[in-house]
Amino acid sequence: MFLMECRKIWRSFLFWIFAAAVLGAYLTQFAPELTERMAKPVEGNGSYGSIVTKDPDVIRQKAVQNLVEEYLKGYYAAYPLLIYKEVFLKEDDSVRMAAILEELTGMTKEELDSFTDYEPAGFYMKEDGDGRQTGEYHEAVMPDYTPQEVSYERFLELMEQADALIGGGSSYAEKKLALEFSTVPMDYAAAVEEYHAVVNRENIVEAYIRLYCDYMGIFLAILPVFTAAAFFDMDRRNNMGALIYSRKISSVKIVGMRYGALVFCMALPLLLTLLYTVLRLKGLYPEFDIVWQKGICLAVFWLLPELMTVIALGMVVTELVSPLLAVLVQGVWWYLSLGGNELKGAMTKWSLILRHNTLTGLHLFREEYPIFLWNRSFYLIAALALVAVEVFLFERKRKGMQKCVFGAKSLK
Amino acid sequence: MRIWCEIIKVNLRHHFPAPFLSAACIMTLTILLFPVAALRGEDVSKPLEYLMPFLGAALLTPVFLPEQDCGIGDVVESKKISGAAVYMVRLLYSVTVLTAFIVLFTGLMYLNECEVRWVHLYGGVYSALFMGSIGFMVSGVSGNTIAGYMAVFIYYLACFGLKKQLGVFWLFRMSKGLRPEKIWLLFGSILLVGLTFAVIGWRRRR
Repeated sequence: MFLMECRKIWRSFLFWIFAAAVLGAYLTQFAPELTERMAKPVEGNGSYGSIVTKDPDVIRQKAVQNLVEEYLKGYYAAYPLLIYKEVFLKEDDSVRMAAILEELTGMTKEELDSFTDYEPAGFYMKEDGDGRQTGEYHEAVMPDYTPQEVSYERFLELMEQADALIGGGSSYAEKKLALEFSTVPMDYAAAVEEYHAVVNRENIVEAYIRLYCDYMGIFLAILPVFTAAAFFDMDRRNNMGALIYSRKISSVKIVGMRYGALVFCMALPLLLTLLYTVLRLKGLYPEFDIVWQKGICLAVFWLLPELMTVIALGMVVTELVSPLLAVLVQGVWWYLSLGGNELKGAMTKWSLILRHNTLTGLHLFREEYPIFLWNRSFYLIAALALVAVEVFLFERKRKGMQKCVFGAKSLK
Repeated sequence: MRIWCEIIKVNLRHHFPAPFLSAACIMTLTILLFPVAALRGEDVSKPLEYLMPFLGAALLTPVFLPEQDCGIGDVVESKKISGAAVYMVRLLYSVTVLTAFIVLFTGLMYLNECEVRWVHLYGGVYSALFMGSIGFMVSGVSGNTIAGYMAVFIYYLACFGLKKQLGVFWLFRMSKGLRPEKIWLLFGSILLVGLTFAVIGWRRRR
């Protein structure tokens, strides 16, 4: 029966559109990374990227300074979903923000409001003796304050409160603090150390696979739902319901085989592209006997729970309501997951799409590894739970006890 | 005339509520997710280019949905008034509602002190029309509405990764400070819709 279901899927042109889209995404987004080896840092090149130190003292000092600046400017920067937003607080919220600042800096609201000499940091033009305009960098003009002795946990609580007052999406949200306030330019020595940490037999495949999963995860969070929704709606469209419902075979088997066939078939294009990646890497780095097994396992654990969840949710919503609502629900979820994520260094427990848009950042991934494990395990379990829900709904339909929210009437 | 009114009434009553509600949800989501007050410059275009184009997908792609039930399709084709005329009626009222939504949204932005210009209004309409016409064409030619939605999302994803290749058909031009060139999206929409009706007409004659 499994092969029969697979053949049904292979005959569906939606599956081939999915496969073409996955291959197209691979060839246009990721394959260019496989044309040449990772570039070794060159001394004197200027920029070697940046590194997130996650040093609490650095975070605290920079975050508090930024918050004071924004209070003095009168508005706060937030980035909810792709767009810069300037948030102006109402009077009550402004008083609460001043209270947060008082706990962190010792300055009262009156002292902050009476400071009128604030100037932001930046280049200021000045005229030299020959009348030429030159730019000169000035640090921000800020009030003098002594950072208060506050535990880091209390500091984080205050930052969360500040973020809530701003309405979310600010740099003070816990998942953004380290990225926004402890990122420092990487020096040549650190860049070389990171290069050697990645470009070796053990880690080179994983580095490329992380980037591969970053790209493919975006497509896998939406494209499978179309094939899944159409496939699970097939019985209703072909008026096959009565024929299938009356068969002896259990609902667990029917749903399980169909779901398994969908997951298997949709994983095939991914497996092909993974194998190609490993072969290309063997060609790019012939001096290493690369450990490709770790990379494949990472890709499977990264992408499979996501694929399974998207298919399972599409299946359940199609069964309950309609395939079009399944597409809408998944579309909204996909959009929210995509827009709410940083490109790296901000894996969360609940995000469907995990990002790691760099070949480097090994130490960052190692630090986030527990969150990564938690997240993927959660989605694996969620997918299986949704399959159980689908079995329940299917069984009820077979017994004539289930009616759709819109449309089909109950037989009882 | 009476027949046309009847066709419009029946289609609006039975086949339009779900697309209309989907479009309303998309507009509501846009208002919730994107700031719509005091926007300047390129920020004004972002809600109109990043999320509002899905209005087109919600309204135009399901134009052929009722006929995917073979029984309904046969009934429609058996009537004196051609199926293509019914599709055109659905398309026209869908485009009208789409334009109304965009006008409402830009009006809301204008009232909230955003720097809205005429290019945002017609750019928003053309962007949504183009996205919708992609779904309309795939849905009409393939006979599968889900394929239409899939094509819309594939185009949207392509806009993230294939900016140079898409050229004037890249959806996010205004948001990135490029010349809008939105008229090409309108031409593209007309071409896709025309192609769809041509294919449907050719199939009927076969």
